[in-house]
Amino acid sequence: MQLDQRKAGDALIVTPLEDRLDARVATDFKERMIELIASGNTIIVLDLSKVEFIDSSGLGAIVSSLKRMGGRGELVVCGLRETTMTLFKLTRMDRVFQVFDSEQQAVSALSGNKG
Amino acid sequence: MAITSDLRNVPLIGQAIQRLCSLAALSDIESHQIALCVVEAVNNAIVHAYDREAQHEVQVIFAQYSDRLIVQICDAGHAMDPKHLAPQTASPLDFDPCCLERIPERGLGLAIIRTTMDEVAYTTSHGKNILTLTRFLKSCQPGSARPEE
Repeated sequence: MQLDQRKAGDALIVTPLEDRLDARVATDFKERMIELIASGNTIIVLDLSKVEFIDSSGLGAIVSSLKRMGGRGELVVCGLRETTMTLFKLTRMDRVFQVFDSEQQAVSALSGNKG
Repeated sequence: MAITSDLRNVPLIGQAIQRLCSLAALSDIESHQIALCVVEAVNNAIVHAYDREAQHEVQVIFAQYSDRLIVQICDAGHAMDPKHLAPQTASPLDFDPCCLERIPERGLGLAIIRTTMDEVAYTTSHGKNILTLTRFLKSCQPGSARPEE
């Protein structure tokens, strides 16, 4: 699947460019995220603003990425739409991930945590 | 509706169900949630019942009644162990968010279905597995059954 990646300070902003994060692409997405983590990115902002639909496989891939960080970094989420936010709440993942309205808010909060 | 058992075909089912739900006067969020449940069920049929083999068929039957919506997902693959839907089965959603290793990565699909739908039933007969999802409508409207297949 297509992922946009760019740095904002110490954070890596990862933006899936497809409108669905589902069983069809979940394995590919997870492998791409694991590569990014393995290459030393410890602060990742996952921008889901372009994603309209997430199923349990897509959500599982996001959780798997968090676990891969092993508590030695930050993986936060921003840009959730109302529908995808509903999934995070339904599965109680809103208690697991820090969720921000925008990329700017996420980067700002992570910079604050650091300082 | 029917698709061949390829994950690339699942969005078509999801979009069709979402549209049908919106015509049944459900909100966008409710329609999205029911479509998500159907997507999860079809994914399970493809991945578990058919072991990801293509060229099998998954049928989805949508019926609107005056007081409820019923969606049936049918396959002819391996049957699911009914214990996965037993009420006493612990939900993977009952996890400690502070305990990283216990945050579930798998098994969320059925949990989403059980949480969202009002009734969930699973039957196997003559080699055909049928998952029946029921959602009661808040405002009952007059009308007879309008099954669409």
